[in-house]
Amino acid sequence: MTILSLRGIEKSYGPIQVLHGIEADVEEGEIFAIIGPNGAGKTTLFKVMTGESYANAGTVTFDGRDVTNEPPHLRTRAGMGRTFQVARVFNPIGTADNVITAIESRKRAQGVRDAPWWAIRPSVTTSEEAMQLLDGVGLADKAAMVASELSHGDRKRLEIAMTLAGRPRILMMDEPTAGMSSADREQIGALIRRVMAAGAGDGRRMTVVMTEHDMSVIFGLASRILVMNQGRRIALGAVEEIRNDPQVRDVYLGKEDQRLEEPA
Amino acid sequence: MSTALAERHTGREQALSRVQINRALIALAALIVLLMPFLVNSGLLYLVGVTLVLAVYSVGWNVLFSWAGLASFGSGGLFCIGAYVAALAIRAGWGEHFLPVIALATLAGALVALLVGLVALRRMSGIFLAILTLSLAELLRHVLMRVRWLGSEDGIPNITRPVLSFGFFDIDLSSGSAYYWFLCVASAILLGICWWLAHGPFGRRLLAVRHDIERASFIGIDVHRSRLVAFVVSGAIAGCAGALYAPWAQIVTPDLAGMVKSTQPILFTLLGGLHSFWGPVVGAFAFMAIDYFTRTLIGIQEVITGGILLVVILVFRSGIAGGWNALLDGALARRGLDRALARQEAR
Repeated sequence: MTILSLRGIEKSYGPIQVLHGIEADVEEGEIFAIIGPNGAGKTTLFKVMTGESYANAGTVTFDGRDVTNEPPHLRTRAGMGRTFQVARVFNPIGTADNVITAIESRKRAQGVRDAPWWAIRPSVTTSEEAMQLLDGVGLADKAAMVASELSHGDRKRLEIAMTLAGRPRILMMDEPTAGMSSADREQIGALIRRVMAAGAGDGRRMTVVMTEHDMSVIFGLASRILVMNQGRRIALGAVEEIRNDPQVRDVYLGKEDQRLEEPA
Repeated sequence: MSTALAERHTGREQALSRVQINRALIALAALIVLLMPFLVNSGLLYLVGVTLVLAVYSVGWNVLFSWAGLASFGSGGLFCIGAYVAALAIRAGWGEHFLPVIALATLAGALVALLVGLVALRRMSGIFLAILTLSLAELLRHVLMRVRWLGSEDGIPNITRPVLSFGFFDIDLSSGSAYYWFLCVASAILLGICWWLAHGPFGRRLLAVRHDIERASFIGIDVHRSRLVAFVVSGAIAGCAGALYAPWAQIVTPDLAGMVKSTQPILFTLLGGLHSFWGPVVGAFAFMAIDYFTRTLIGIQEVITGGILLVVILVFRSGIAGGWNALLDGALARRGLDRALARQEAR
């Protein structure tokens, strides 16, 4: 079943066209990676998917509804979670408060009232859920810290916990392991697999869309890969197909480049 | 500010005792404010009453600034609208229904803020919003100066303090101290509402928007709506404070919409403590004290005020409240350390 579908996406910044008629379907339950050299339009395409920028032409359909012109908060409420290349969390407030704010936002959008209208503190169920989410990403012992005191990797974990607080059906991850140590990178990869295994609730499977530079991460995680170059889709397929695609080798990586080889 | 959970976990003893000390201080200050009519002459009482109203008005502004991250430089315009609504209503003989009049002034402030916010907030923030709000307040001042029906430049004088009528009984607020206590009660209620808004789920949403607007929208917060609501709430508080002010000052003039009124909450917040709920209150009374004690030093009063402001902002970037909290934390930490050392030696 297709959960996110792009039809004829065009995007220009002024006179410069950065996306040329992109077509792609993301299937529920897969890890869908977008790769391409710098300036290929990955980030722009990603932003069109999340609602940070709108396509000039074409349609974005998410979970059966046309979201082409919907702003991010509505897509989030419809089940889209997003993490940033450099983790973005609410720095000056507590780690747990970050997650609590996200849970409260979801409950508000869903009309769930588990605290009286005059309550100042978050409800007990909200606090407990926050601790569970933090536990799930391995941050339970740091719940009391202020977010700005967390390490780079921990901030990423916190961001993932905040995103999961929205009970997403699809996780949009912009370079989830950028700038991380290899140990952190492996842990984030393992975390993504755990999130996939846990599913998206209601018996539905979780889907991940990610952009990535690091080929070892891509080949270790992705189900299918969309390869872009100069704003066009040049290939879309399973990992093996992409690895053996001569056009991908030529256009994207150069003939001598060895990065498409299986990582050691 | 909102690291509620964090504060509950880390150094529980320490955080609690700082909160306790501050609570005791706030209670003491409230008691002193309540007893003012017995302690000071009517001139000084008038000053304290004005400061109280301005403090509430500044807290309303600061909820918008420190929580939603929006700097309005035209809040004086909304204060002025509230004051004129109350003055006109009392002149029209509605004084005995003063509570509905206050509600009307509050609504007027909220409505104008809503209209401005609908137009301005979608596209503007930062310096553009500041200039726009400043210009609108100036525009209002110039219009008021030209409307003869509203007293032109002289404004509306001789506003009588109302006698509240509740059918069975009346509350006479015409004496200075009676109206002063009425101001105290109204301020307490308004501060309570602001506290509740700032520290509850709404405040957490606003903080999220201020800290990272994109992250906030990606946890499903409608950023524009949250900002608009904060703008309207701040406008309502300003309108309400204006309505409370009119019978206390007994005159309203177009100057209420001027630069001075609009920059007061900004100065109070900077002096008292940025990103602190009680900061503007501390700042308002600190300003009043400075003004009062330098009142005979004509000519250098402004220099002294400016100098103190500069020193406080340079030394304590988070104002008096922030400096005080840091001092208190330091003292408490030292005491905690001494105790721990003593315990170790005893072993």
